[in-house]
Amino acid sequence: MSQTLSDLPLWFLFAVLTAGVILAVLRPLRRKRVAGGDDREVTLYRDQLAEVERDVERGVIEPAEAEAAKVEVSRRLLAAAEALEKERAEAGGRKGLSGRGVALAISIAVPVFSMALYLALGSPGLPDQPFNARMAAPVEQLPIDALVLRVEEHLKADPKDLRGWEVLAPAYIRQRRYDDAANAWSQAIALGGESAARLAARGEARVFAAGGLAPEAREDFRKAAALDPHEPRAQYYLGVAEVEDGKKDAAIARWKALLASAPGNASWRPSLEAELARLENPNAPRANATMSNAPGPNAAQLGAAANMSPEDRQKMIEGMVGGLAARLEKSPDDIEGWLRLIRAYGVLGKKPEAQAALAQARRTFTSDKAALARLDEAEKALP
Amino acid sequence: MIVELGHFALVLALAVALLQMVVPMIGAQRRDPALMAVAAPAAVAQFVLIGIAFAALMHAFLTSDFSVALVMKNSHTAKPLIYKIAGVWGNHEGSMVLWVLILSLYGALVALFGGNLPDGLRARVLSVQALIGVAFLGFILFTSNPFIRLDPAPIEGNGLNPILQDPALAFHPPFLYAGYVGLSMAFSFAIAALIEGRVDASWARWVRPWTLAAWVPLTVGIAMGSWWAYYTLGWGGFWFWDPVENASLMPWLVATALLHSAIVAEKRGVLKSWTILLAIFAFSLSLVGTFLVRSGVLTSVHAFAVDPSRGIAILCILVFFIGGALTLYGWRAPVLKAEGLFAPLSREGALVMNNLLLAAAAAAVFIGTLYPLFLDAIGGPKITVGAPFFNMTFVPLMIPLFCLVPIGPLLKWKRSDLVAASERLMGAGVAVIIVIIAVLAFHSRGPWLAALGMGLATWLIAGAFFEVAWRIGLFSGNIRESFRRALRLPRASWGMALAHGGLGIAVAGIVGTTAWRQELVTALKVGDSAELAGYTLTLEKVGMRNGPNYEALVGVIRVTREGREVAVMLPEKRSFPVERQEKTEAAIRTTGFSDLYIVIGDENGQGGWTLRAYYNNLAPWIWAGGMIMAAGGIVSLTDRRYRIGAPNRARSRLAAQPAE
Repeated sequence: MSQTLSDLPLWFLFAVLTAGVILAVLRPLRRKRVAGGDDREVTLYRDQLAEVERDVERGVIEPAEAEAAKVEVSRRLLAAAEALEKERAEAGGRKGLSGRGVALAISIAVPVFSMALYLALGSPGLPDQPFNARMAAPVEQLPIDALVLRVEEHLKADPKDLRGWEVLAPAYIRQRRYDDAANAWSQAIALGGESAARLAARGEARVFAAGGLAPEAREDFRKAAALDPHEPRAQYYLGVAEVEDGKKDAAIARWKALLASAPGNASWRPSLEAELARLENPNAPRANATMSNAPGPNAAQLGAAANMSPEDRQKMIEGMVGGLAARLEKSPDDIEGWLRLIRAYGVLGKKPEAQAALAQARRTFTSDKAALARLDEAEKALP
Repeated sequence: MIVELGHFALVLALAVALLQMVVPMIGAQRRDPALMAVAAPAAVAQFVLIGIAFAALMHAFLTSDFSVALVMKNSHTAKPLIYKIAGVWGNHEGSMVLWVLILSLYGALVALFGGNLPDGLRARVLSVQALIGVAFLGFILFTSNPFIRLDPAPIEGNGLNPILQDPALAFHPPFLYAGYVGLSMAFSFAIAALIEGRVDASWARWVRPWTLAAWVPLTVGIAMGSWWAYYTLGWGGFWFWDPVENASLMPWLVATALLHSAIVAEKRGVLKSWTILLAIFAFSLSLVGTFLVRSGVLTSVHAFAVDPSRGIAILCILVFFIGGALTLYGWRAPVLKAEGLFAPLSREGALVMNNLLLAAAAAAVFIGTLYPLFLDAIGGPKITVGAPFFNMTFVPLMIPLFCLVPIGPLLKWKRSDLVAASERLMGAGVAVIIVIIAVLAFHSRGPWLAALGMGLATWLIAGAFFEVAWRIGLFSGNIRESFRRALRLPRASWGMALAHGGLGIAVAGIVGTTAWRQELVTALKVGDSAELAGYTLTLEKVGMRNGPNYEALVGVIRVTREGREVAVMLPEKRSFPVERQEKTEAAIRTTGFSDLYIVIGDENGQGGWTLRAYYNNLAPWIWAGGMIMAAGGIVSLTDRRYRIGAPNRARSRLAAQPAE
């Protein structure tokens, strides 16, 4: 049905439907007018008279009562027959409304009314968007939610695909499905073993899910730090844990060590420095700090996202990407930022933008071989 | 494309309904046959158009087109097919489209099969029917439009309330609506008659099959709803006096009264004004029922405040139709005059009693359902009216009614004598006494009332049987003659016997379940057993199962009786991850005379699983009785009298008349 229908223009279908309805409704008006009055009522009373006879036979009514009942019915029958006579006599001399006038009025009023109301209410420009057809669209055109669904489908079929889980987990974070993200990291850990990066990422997902540092999250960070003392997220959150436990000095020492060992252009450096400053001097202005690979949305944004419709959320993600791009315009020497932007464009299906960002990043880091290598890798990873 | 075509079809249906409302009415007033004849094709066109809209909506649900806001809110790709279908009406907007679809279906049926109606009456009936259609199509398009689109469309939907994901619940709204909306026919006939200023015996005969056509699905819908409550809500109750249930019971009671009073109006020309009033009330209560349930007002008056435009529109529709109809009635009813006379002890008299008792019962349910709402609305205390109220009001009204049911059909029209009728009911009386004694002997510890209840049920069943037996002379010894008479017995008589007997079966089921239910609540470790009503229930194991869109905890319970295995029962507890809800799925094993009913609960922390089991005596009879009643309605609907005067038959009948 959808194949044949979608080949026809919408307005043509509307016109056919309207015309068919009008033709059907107008048919009686073209008929020749017969004299009014019908004998259905008379027929019915005749049947009732016969029925009284049958009732007597079945013993539902006494014969004497039946006579009285027949008189009643006969009275009605006579009245109906008389009315019918009168009706037929009158019908000849009566003039009806002009059939042509009524027909004309209907054939103008119905299409005008329906068109006006439909244009006010409908969305004629929007095609159908059945789920299967949308999922069959090229990857670049799929929104992030669709990508997530696809990866989920893929993982249902092949749950042993480590890379699938590692792609899915950050996407869940972006969709604010923190529990799912933590589970996805658990799957990845089960398949690929415990690595500092995976443990730290799971810990962070658990922090987001619980809205605080739950015991399992702390455990994750402890293990991650044990595997790789330079894992920045683990160190950061362990510091947060120490602050919560009242061990402020330990936290300060930990973060200072982290900053000392971190590359100078790490994207999270400014926010951590600000947080450190606030810790050392509580009166300093508060900075927003999370330790995701980069500054994430702040608490207000998160709260807003929870109440958003999916498409608004999508817009917000795109807005955040836009913000990142604007920031990189101003301070371009942030390789982490560029990589994140390129990856984000890839996930959002914006291939030209991703290519443009790649080109710009390559121009910025022409002399930095390590950065160029990472950009090459990012290009390969694009969907 | 298809979605927009559906939207346009719905708009066009409104245009056609407006036309169908205006043109035939003018035609009827001017006695212009051409204008009156517009009603029939318009009614059919309206049905086709709403059918297209409904099909488009269903297509959107089936293909998970989340660019339709309604689909996004109420569906999900992981949902099984039948719930994608049921999802169409499992929400306010879609259910309203189903509502008008059925409304237009009845209109189309009158257009196609109402050939035996006089032109004027048919034109007016279809015009009033179109007026109802206009109100609802307008309501849908302006306040509850199911075709609102989303751009960009989200990729996944929100799912459907898991409690709605159940076959009986998914498919009982169409039945219930077929009943509710079918009563609009009786309403349209009543309004048309009032406008015409004429209600005669013929009118009553014409209105009766349409009322019956609504009563049958309403009966089925109520029975299905009660069955769903029985196996879903997890403790084996079948009727909760819940406002939602009461909302369907009230129009049913009034429609039942209407069916009976229409007989008197048709056969004897009396009770005409009362029949009109019942027709108005039956549909008014349907409207109240649909809207109170759908708008959520029953749970709280404040639901209106959530969506004021919708609430006010509903209120306006209710006031317009109920108030308008009653005003018209007050104005025109005095014109209607009674014709026949009858003695108090006669079939008419019995049917008047039937009407009084049914109307009083409907009033009792109405008060019980709406009084708390009224108190809440005027800022009074929050109260709930539960089973005790209804047991004290509704049940005492039903007992005399049930006592009268077998007697009525044996009385004669106009004047009857009780002695002759009671002679014919001797057999039924003997059966009642035998049953009461047997019950008392079997359940010597009572409850005493249960014996009387079973006696009443027997009275209804045996009464229906002996009535037919007497009519066909079953005990006269001449089997061939009885058979001949049985064939000649009008279908309406067979229908009545079935309906009254079915009522008796349902009453037996209700009494049996209420009086002799056995209950077991326990915690079993895997391998443990418990006893209930002679059955041994052994928990064999507990496992997990994956459904299409849920995960289920399944208990495997082996049921044995005296060492022999009877069944393996699998109660489930399902959790739906998308909707984050849980639902128990009872395992029920029925023998036709009793149900064994098992529900599995949570682990109790010590390795035991909470298990609730019930042994419900005669429970299946409740719904079997309801289905038999509905079957009686269908049989009655095939009676030849309802086809009298249809054009193709009219000529042959007229010719054959002298032979009768």
